[in-house]
Amino acid sequence: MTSGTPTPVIRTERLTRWFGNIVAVNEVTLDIHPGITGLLGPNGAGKSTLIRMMAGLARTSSGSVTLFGEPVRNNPPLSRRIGVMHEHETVYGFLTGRQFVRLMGELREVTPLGEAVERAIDQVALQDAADRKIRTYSRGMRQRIRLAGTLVHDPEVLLLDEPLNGADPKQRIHFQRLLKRFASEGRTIVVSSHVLEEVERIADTVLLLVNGKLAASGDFRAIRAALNERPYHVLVACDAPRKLASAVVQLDSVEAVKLDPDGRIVILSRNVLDLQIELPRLAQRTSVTLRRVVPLDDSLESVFGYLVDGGER
Amino acid sequence: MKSLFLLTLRRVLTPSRLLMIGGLALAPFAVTSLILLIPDAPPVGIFETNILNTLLAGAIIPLATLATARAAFGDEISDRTLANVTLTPYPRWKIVLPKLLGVVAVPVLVMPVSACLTSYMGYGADLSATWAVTVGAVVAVVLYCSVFTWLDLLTHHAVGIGLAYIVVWEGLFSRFVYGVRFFSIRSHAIAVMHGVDERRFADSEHTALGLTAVAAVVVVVVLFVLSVRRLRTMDSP
Repeated sequence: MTSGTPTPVIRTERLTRWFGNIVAVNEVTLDIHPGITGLLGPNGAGKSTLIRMMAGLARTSSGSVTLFGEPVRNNPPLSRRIGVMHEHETVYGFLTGRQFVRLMGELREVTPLGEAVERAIDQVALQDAADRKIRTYSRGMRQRIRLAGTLVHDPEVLLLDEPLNGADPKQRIHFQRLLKRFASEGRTIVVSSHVLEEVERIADTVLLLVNGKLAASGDFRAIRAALNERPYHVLVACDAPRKLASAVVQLDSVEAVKLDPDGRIVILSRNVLDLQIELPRLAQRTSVTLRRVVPLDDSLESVFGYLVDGGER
Repeated sequence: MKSLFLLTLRRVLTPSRLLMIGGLALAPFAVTSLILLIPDAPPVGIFETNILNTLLAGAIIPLATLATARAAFGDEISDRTLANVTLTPYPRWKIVLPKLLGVVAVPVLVMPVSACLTSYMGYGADLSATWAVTVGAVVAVVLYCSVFTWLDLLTHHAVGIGLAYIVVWEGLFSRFVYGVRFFSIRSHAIAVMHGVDERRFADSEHTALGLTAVAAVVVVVVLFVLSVRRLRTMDSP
């Protein structure tokens, strides 16, 4: 990601933002090129602050952020080229969907406005509800009309903060197609999410943000490979834990085994896929009845934790 | 700029705000009507001190403008829609100006009407005095709106600070501490009323009308510049 293709659309250099004693974004240096970039991280990782600084909405404590080589902060003309959809779902409930998109177009000096408004509403497939007050919209519809407001001025750069919140599966597919089409038109799109699979489906490249730091960046497959190598803890409850534990420890996919005070087995494995296949076979062979098999640390936070700690080791 | 003006106006014209502004506007008129029903109505000096000075210029107008000024930036900040407004190619003054005009628009119509009716009754249909009070009310609305619009950009506690300002600064200090008068919007409003009709508020000293006019313009311009500057430097939620 960094220093790859020449002339990145978005460039941050040692970008840092403090809120009192808390560092939200910590010396993040990255280049973003046309295409879809997924900004991935657990809640509180600093994704929204980073996006807001990229849009010029938030100050930087130190470091710099440029778009098309220009500083974004206090650069109003640049807003013609950026579309920002922030994470907060509040909209002007007293306006209809069409009025809202029209207002967004007017504020960005779009001409001809009428055509742009209809195109943006079409893009999010909300023509049928466009004349209803936004306060009557479902959460997913609000997200779509906000996206239409973001698209109305046909921006070259889209900064979308958790845009799929509240969207149903059909809307997600529609949204993914839309973003892929925009990317194929040469636009630069940054999509933040805390859901790994969501970003995997949309993004060509991924930025992993943890505790305000850039933990990993690059092609999604490389990130996936790193994730697959991480050790997982798996909890196993069965009727003969000691018997199963002594058998499990022989498996190649297992690094360590221990019994917890409740008589359950905790397995540390670097190859969970193999373990998933081998464990039931082993239980059958040793005549042990499995009651429960639960991954203990499959949360996104633990994945990030591993990547960050791994990076520091 | 028209879009922002209309957006702000729509935010001002919510039923709860209209109810509040309407209720506040009726209060001095209602109190004056009740006073006039008393067989031995109090002298004009008492009406000026209590109804026009304390109630209208010192409480009703600031409270009404505190409520409407929220519609400029306070509401946008608390419901996190300000980014919609700041992500525009407009220079920042083109955002502040229509928003300020939007929040001035309603109280600058309603409050002078209240002032006009109240003073017409209180002064016994004296048109010159009524005109003086109406002009004073217009000046007060514009000045208070400028202060509270800036305050909303400055702090999340604008309502609390605004109320404290109304009670402590305008209600106490500017009335009882010598020299503070020049920094009080209420005092300037009264000075305008006295300046337009010198028979009114004749009991006490007032800043000259010309000086008051200059001070009012300076205050509005300075607060406008501070608001533009604040909008430029603050984080948009």
